[in-house]
Amino acid sequence: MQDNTVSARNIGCMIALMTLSSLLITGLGSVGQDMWLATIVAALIAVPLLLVYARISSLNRGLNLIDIVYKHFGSLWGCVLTLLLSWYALHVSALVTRNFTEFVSSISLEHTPKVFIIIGMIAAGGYLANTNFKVLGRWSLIVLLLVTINLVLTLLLSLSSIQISYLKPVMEHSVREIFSSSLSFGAVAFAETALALVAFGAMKSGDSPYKAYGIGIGFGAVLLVSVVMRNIMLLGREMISTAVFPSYITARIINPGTFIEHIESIVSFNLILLGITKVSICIRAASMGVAKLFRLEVTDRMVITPISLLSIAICVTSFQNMQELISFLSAYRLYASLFTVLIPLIIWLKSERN
Amino acid sequence: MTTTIIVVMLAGLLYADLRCIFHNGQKRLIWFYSICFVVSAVILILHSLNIPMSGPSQWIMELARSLSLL
Repeated sequence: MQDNTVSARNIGCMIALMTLSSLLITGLGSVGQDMWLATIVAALIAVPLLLVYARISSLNRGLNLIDIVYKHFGSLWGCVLTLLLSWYALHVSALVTRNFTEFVSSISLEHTPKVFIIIGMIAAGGYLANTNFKVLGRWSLIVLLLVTINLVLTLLLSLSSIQISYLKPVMEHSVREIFSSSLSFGAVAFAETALALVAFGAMKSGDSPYKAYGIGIGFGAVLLVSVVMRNIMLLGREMISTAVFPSYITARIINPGTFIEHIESIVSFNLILLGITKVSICIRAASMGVAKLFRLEVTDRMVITPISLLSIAICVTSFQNMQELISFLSAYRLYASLFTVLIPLIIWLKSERN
Repeated sequence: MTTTIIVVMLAGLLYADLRCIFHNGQKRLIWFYSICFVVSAVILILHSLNIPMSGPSQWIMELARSLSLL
């Protein structure tokens, strides 16, 4: 019999990639040089939330998020919550794809219709989602390794150009502004990892969900803060506030000499791998929800194609440009809190009670 | 050009998947697949014809604005 279980370490890699995928390319920063502080605050705020996610999984061993919902809420409320969670997964897959489509469109494929970039990206994500969690976990491990090597390399190569003074003045923005930014970062980077709970049904029986979330948030937060600090120290506060894709601009500035040229192309490939991983996890989560919702007597992989098509349709109607996507963030953090804070809290309380 | 490529892609996808879906024989799956396919195909074709459309993200933003949450 084929072993489809996935280790906590590999689930942790998935969570780390979900954390990194959106914020690593997009700036989303309105607090300039204080962005590193906002990122640290976001990670600290996220810790209790991620402990709730881990606790949910710990109380419901061997079950994925959708099974947990049905187990504790019965068929009626189970249907409602599954519908909401499936919608959220579908919407996040579309938003992530749009984010990366704007990135690809800005850096190289300016005249290519965006719809083809979207189709290409979701097709790759859907193909990856069609595999089991064991494969997805291994893929995540390899991608995280590549991304880490890439980040360490760019960090080392940029040491000669770094200006530590760019981090000053510290706390120039008010506590309220920094906190507001950290909530936005947290909603995009950490809270979306609630969707990774769908993979916990396939976790090895001896492994701990706390370990998975610990690895995820540990790696994710450390890499994220390193990248944000590197970007600020290379670009400066004016540039970091206006840059839409600061990591890419930073990679363009780094000049390792004649031995390796145009390091930004390697960086952009790695960033796209991150996006594909997150899209695949979201599509898989939506498919699992839909298969359960419609009581389809098939594996959830049968519905990946229609879910991918819906994701493409939502993605093309999402935004006209990157600025609209960034301005959506203030509404998004309220919208996301329903799916990533309220619903998980209800599930946790119900799991504790039962 | 974009529209043609999208229509060809959708037709190819439909042909490839229909055999599998109908072979399975579940009515619910056929209905779900048909609805998703039709909705996506209409949106993609309208988009490729440059007909302006708003999506869920804009609706959420408008809702948040109308509730004075922003």
